[in-house]
Order: sequence, then C-alpha cells, then structure tokens
Amino acid sequence: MIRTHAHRQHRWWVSTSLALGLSAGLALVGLQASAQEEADGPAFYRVQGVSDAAGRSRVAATGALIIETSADSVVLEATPEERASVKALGLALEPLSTEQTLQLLPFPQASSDYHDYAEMTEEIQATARRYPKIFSLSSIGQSREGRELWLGKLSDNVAVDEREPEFLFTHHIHAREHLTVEQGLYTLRMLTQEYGFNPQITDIVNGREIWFIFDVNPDGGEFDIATGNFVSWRKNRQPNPGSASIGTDLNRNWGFQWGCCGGSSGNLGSSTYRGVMPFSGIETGLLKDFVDSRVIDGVQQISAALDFHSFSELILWPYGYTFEDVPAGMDPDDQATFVAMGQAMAAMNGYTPQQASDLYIADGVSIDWKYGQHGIFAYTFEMYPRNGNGGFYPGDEVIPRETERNREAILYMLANADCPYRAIGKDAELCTVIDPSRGDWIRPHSAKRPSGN
Amino acid sequence: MVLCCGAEPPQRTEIRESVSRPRSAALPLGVVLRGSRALSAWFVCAVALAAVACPAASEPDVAIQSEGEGNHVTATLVDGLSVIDVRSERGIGSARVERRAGDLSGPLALQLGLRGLEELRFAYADVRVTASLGNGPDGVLQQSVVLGAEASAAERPIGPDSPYWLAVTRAGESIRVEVPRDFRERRVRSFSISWVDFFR
Repeated sequence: MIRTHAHRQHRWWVSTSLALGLSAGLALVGLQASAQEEADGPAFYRVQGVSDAAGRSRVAATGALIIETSADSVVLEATPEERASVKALGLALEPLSTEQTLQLLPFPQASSDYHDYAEMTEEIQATARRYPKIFSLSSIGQSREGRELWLGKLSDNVAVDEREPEFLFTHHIHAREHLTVEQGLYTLRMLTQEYGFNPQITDIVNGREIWFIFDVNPDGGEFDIATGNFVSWRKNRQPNPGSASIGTDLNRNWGFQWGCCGGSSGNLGSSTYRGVMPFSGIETGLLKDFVDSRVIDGVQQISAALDFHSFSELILWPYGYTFEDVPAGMDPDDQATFVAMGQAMAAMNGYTPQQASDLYIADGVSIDWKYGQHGIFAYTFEMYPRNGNGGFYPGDEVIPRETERNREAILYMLANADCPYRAIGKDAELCTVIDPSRGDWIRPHSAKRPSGN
Repeated sequence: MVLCCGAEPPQRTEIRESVSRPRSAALPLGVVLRGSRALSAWFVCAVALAAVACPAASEPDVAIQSEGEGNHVTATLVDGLSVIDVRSERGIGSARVERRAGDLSGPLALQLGLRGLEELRFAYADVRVTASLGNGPDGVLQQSVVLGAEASAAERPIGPDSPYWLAVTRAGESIRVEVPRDFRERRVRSFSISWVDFFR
C-alpha cells in the first residue's frame, strides 16, 4: 500500500504538534492525550488478533492504514470513522503511547519522499506480491527493537537455490544515511519492473541470485527521525551494559582486523564505538550469519557485494584497516581487480574511486570482512553529496537523480559478478566455466582466497 | 605544500598559509591583508613587501603542511594569540604545524571551520589526544589520550582536569579548540592534527 498525501500531511501534523508541545514544556501524558484522543483526526493504534493476510485485508478494507505488522497484531493509523469500522469487526484498538507514536513518525516534511521503515516495508512487500516469480521476501532476524531485517531475493526460479553467482546489496548500516534506503528501493524497482522488457536486466536476473538487505539498521534509522527533526544518529540502538551510552557502530563491528589499527573507538559513547567484541551488534551478527550461510560445499556463493553509505561520492574497496595497497594475505590480482572495477564504475557515476583507507583508517568494516574472510569483491559506495553541504540529509528532490545515477555502475557489477577478474583481462585464467551452454562463469574460491583471521 | 613566513607579524595579519591543491599563481602567498583602514593597509603592505624583498629579515618560523583535497590551513596572530585556522571542503584532512625557530609554548588555538567534529586527533611528542563531539541527543565531548609511541600503548579517557584536555567549544559556524596545558608546558616545536567532521 502506498501512503497517501493526506496520511503524510496528518503525520506531519502529529509530528509538529508533538514538537511544539515538547518545546512548550507540556507533559508527555498530556501530549498523548492530545495526539491520541484528538476526535477529529486519525491516530495510531495497535490491534491484536490480526495474524494473517485475510485479517489484515479486512482491516485494510475499513480504510485504516496498516503501518506495521507482526505475528499477531498490526499497528494502524485510523480516523474516527475508520476506528469505528475496525471496532465493528470485533477488534479492539489500543492507542499507542506518545513514545510509540514518536517511533512511527515520518521524515520531516521537507524530506517526506524518503521512506521510513514502515514505508520501505510496504513497498518491498508489495513488490514481492507483484513479482512472486522473481522476488521473494524473508527476514534474517530482528533488530534489537524487534524490527525485521528484511532479506530480498531476486532471481528467476526464485524459490530454488540455483548454482548461479550471487550478489549482495546492503543498505543503511548507518542510521542517518537515509539516501541509501532509497538506493535499494530504486535498484529493486529497476530490476523487477524492467525484467522481461530489458534484455540486459532479464539476463542478469536470470543468471544471478541477488540478495538485498534493505535496511541493516532500522532502529537507528527510526530513532534518527523520531522527533520530526534529524538528530544525526549513526549507530544502532543497542544499549551498552554498564553505561548510559547507546549503540554500536555497525561498520566497525566486523570480525576482520576488528579494532586493530586505530580506526574505531573503544569508547562506549563514540560514534565509531566498535562494540565489546566482533559481531556484538545484533544486526551485524545476523548479517554475518547470513553471509556465512551462503558457503555451500565449502564455496562462498556470493562473489560480489555493494554496501551503500553516504556521503562523499566515493567508491571504496578494501582494505580500510591499512594504508597498504596489497597487505599480506591479499592477492595482487584481487587488488588489481578492485581497482579496475572501481575505476570503471566511477567512470559511470562520477564518484571518486579509491581504497577505503584513503578516506581515513577504519577497522572492523564490512567490506574488509567480506573480502578478507570470504573473498567477496565488496565495495562501499558513498553516495551524494560530495561535500558537507546537504551532508546526510539532502532534500528529497535529489532521490530520483542520485539513485538513478548509480544504475550503470550497479548493472556493471551485477553483470561481472560471475567473473570479476574479467576487469583485468584474466577471466580465462582465473574463472571457471560451470555452465558453458549459458555462458555462466564463476570465479574460483581456491588457495588464492585470503585466509581471514 | 609548505609555505612559511617570518616571525612577529602584524596583528590581524595572516602569516602562514598552506593549501593542499595547486593554487593559482595570481593568488598572493604569505601576507594577506585583513583590515580596512587605508593606513593599516599601507603599513601591512609595506611589511609584506619588506618580507619579500628582504628574506633574511623574515626568517620563517612556522611551516604548515596539510593533506587532503580542498583543505586550507593557515596561521594567524590575533591579539597575541596564534590561531591555526582550518578550512576543509570535504571535512576530512590532516596537517602538521612546525615552528622552525623557537617553540609553540605561546597562546595557541585551533579554529576549525567544520559543521561537526566526530574526531580530532592532536598529536605532539609522544602524546596523542583524541576528541570527539558526539551527535544525537546524548552527544557530549569525549576525549582520550595515548601516551607513548608504541602501537600497543593504552588509550585512556580523560576529563577536563587532565593536562592533555583540549578545550573544545562551538563558536558560531566553527569549532574552537585550545591546546592542552601539557603541550604548552613541554615547549614543543611541532604538532599534527587530523579531523573528521562526520564519519561516513
């Protein structure tokens, strides 16, 4: 279901009311009453006993907007008339507290085309319903606050684990980097809507298994927008025991050269807090388990990956933990491939290609682990803008332009996921044909792979 | 790129400048006028011309070397206070400041033209201080210090009472940093800084 403009306007009104109320020093209890008992406008409720598609459809038929679903309940936004219709179904509506309502609030008005977690969920669920033959949706688990970490799979014969090169997209590891969610949605729309019409995309979808983690850090993302104003939150929302500080930097928490080199912080309150141990972040642990699960018969099926961040307009490749271009354990052919593919993609989107550490030393980052542990050709895209003006929060008018900007680079990566070494002209030497009739190749996962740590 | 100029410059006069990318030849290096009064302008220009004409009389004492695209680091003297001014187009960079004659024990502050300061590293001798201004509702100023050049040297948090503490304050569109007491007392000749406005 797509949110209507009226709903957006109302949610902006709730946000503004709450913000004004807070600034006026009103008690939260009073705000709850004003927000939830407002007789004339819609409000937010949890409805228990709605556990399946049929039940949700009956609720949706009243006109109420379902915002979140769980195993046995839904959260909805309903006008007084819609509320009466839901009650007529024999269901009880439990008003949400102010704190719960704040968690549901959308982006500030000027950024209303950005998708919050609920809106993103709506869209990817709708896509799964519309394209069931090529796109399926599951979850790798729940965030600290109980939000699903949605896992999308895009491929022909989507229900079958075929022997095809696999590709992983990850988005929104850092809470305030909301544009990356839009990139994931753009890529999904492109690949589903043009499948069967665009030969290049049809071939890619038929010949790959493409995984999407649309929102690695939904708790942080929702927190960043919860008050109606951005708060520049970066980490997840996992409490740090023994401290009032909240959150782990999910891109300093990976188990390759974790905390090795001054590129993260052991300070609980730091924006780059690395966590108490590798993968101590709930969300990173779940993502690790997923990537590990793609090792089948000793072979990692994921050959390439893109991890979207913002900002700076960069294409980054491993390693981030060291300034060395080819440290011990890294194959020179791999490094040359990283450079060649990075430069090729940069020529398509106008980003600057460089080794990750050229930005600053960062240890325990996802691309280092994906490559160092699994041999995955993993890149980070730092999206628009190039400089600090706009920073993490560019206006929503840039979304179409800045997501489409990466179209060709994404298609290039997907097309070459079968044999990244093609970028350095060593495909015949370093890639193995597994299905000559279809021309599918896959790079070897042999002794050339780094051993990890 | 390293630029430098003489000691004891006129007040409110930029005395050092370093940029990390090639500059236009038309841009003046060295002394840059910041006043508006004609007499002051004449005086400063005279000093500048003297500095160019008489290099022996303007023995360079501070050199600034910066790294990172679009970073401009300059030194100015304002009412007896030396200010290292950082302008960073992309918000990330580093610089090394060295006084060639004498030491840096005089009043010294950093003026960072950054919207955020998620990391500032201030290093001198065998001391490395890291400061961060957190974001979000629980954002606070946090600092730590590493003593000793060994990579394994322990990092420990510090508070305002520490001799290594950097006094960090927001001042309009920039961030002001006063150097640690220990730095001044050691009478060192150089230090290096690196900054990240926002981690990406």
